Amino acid sequence: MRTEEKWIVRIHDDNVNTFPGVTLVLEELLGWPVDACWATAERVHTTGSADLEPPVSAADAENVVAALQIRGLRATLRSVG
Amino acid sequence: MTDFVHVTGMAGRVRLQLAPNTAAVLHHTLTDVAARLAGSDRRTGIPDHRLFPDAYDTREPSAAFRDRHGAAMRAEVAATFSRVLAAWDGGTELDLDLAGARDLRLALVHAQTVTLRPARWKASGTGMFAARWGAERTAVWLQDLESHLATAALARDDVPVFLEL
Repeated sequence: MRTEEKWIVRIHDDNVNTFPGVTLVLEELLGWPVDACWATAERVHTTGSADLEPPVSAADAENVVAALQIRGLRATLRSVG
Repeated sequence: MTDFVHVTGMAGRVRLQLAPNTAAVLHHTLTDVAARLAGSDRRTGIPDHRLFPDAYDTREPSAAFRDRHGAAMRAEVAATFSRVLAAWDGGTELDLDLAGARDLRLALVHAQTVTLRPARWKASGTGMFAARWGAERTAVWLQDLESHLATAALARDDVPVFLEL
């Protein structure tokens, strides 16, 4: 893992997390308005996943993924170069 | 005896009123999961790969991620269960601030792990095909209560949101 790489955090759809649950988690971790969090939850549900912009360092992306997974969401990270 | 949970959200606070039997069963469930999180018994314990999905698309970096973060992640989940159970003795009323509501939501989410045969994120649903034998209703019920709780926690103005389960 090269530290200068940028990484994107991706939230994946599943059959156990609910719209309000995902919205509450995103609001807590990202500090976004509830409407924006709800829209992201809808994008996860309708498209299967949603990427959190902007790309960040590997360490920051791993920390976000860990925080999302602690709260029960299926989150992964991938390099965008 | 009627089982129920009444969930009221207003101005960032959540109030739960539970039937005595409902409260007892939920408290027992959360206590059981907390013990499984802390335990090392291979039969009843919950391994990291059942708690958290792979963080990468491939196995090796995902394993390395678990090495770096897994223990702290498990500790945070366990600490959340401890906070929930320390604040609630199984009584029929819970009055939660936003942090308390988030804690209980997290506990309800991870409690689903012990009711499902596949890992939570791989479950085809929380109905009979994904749930462990005998845990079908509990799996669905935990998911519904999590949804109600989160909905109530998102009510931030002075207009109450009332949900019933």
